[in-house]
Amino acid sequence: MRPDRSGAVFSALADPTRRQVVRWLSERDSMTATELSARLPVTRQAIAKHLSALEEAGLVSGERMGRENRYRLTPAPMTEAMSWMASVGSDWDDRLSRLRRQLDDKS
Amino acid sequence: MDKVERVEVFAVPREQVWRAITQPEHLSEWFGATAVELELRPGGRVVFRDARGLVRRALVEVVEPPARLVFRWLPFVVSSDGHRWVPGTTVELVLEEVAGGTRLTVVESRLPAFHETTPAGPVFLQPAPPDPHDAPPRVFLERRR
Repeated sequence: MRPDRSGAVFSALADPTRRQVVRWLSERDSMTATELSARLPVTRQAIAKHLSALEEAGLVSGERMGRENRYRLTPAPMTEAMSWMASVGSDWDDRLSRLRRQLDDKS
Repeated sequence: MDKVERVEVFAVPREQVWRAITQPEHLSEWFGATAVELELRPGGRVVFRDARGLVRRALVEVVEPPARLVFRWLPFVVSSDGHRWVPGTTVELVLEEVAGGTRLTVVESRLPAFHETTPAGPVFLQPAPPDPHDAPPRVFLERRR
């Protein structure tokens, strides 16, 4: 991987929603923005923007299938270390938002 | 070192955050586990069970109430969906008193691609055979000694 690409990858993965998108895509063959927005608390339009950012970083690629683009992970720029960081980071995002709700409820 | 770091500030006293991260009944609520066992002492065992019946084990390394907790995930193999290797990692939780509440810093880290870079390395780095009976972590520990 080129070093300039690696910076783009890390900044693309700095966003919690994009990490979630990467995690969903890692568990499936391919997904559309509509399918992703049904599983995440953001609009289809927002997902489409995140997918563009991930595509620019070379992390996903979209292919026109019917009315929508279907996106899949492109494993090349995503090293094992990056996918570990995306997955573990996404787990902590989920846990910490639950912890925040739990502490808010009890205070 | 591969590392994930998160920093959050909660508007509650540090003791309250400490309880949320060290008392099993509070920990299971937010950790994504249905049941947690935790021996709060260095060397203590931690067991997380999730809704699918998967078990993940950890060992407590550092306990400094109410400021710091370090535990180490033991490597494990998921056998139900076909043998997925998950490397061991270290999790450090640091609690600091700040204006307006408590800052929690979480760092999860591991040696980079440890198991990949040494394919012919020590026995304990090789995937264990699938085992439906919750044995893999113990197998790893025994081989490691």
